[in-house]
Amino acid sequence: MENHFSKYLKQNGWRELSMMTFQNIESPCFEIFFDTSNQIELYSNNERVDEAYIITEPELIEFLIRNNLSDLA
Amino acid sequence: MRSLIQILFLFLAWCNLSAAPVLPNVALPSYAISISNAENLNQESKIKTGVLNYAKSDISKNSLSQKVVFGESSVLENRAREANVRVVQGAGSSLIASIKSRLTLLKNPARPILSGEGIPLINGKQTRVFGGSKFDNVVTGSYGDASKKYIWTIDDNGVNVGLEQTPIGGNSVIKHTNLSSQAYSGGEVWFITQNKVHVNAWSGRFGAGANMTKAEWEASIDAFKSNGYEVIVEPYNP
Repeated sequence: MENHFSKYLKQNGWRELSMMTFQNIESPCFEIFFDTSNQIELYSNNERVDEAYIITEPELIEFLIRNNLSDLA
Repeated sequence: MRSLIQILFLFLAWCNLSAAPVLPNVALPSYAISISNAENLNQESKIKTGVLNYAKSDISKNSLSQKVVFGESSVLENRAREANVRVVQGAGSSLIASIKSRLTLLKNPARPILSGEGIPLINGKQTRVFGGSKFDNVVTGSYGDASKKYIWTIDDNGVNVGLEQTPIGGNSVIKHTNLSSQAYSGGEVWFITQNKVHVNAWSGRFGAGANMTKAEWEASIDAFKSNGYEVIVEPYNP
């Protein structure tokens, strides 16, 4: 299963651990979990640290930036 | 003598009708056919009267005898339709049994439930048993339109849906755990029309993100179908 958010993650430093779950390659303690195709949750060492409801790719990028997980930061 | 033989033949034919339907069992949509027993009983009564009058009249060909034959055909047809209705109910039960047989593991959510995420959605949640009716007054929209997206779960109550963009417990949207504390499966659904849905397995808590099996996924699709929907399915290959 794939949508444009998961494609973006895979192209920008995240690997798919399992369906709807992605792990940051550089900092493996960070995982992004898709609750639905628009709801994402960020986990650090299995603790939820942030979440967002995203509709556009810039919203995903903004989410990564605010959590210091983007090269664009 | 010839008249008596014909009367006997008519009686035997009528008795045969009572024994078993003569048409093969064909599954038809349940909404398509509704024949009352009262209608059949009324027609059967007319046939009996007609046959008796026929016997008394001692004539082999008259309009009454033709009415008897036509009436008999009508009863035969109605009995066949009644048989079909029973077959439909049987097929429905079979489908429901098939769905239930594939939904074997009632799962806890795959992720922790934080504030507001476990509050049962009351206003806006709709539930239908397998084989039940369609959901009422749903918002229709095209696949991918976030504002028209519903999320679904299947639990022991049947199929549950709620519009994702429904505020609850301080959150701006609902999660699948607002529909079910435990579920067999989950995902997203768009009502393309009031009769057609487009479903996927995007649920991190009960669907693809929670190792939903292929059997559970296919049973879930059948559950929507059992409620009368034409179902468009997004690929899911666990």
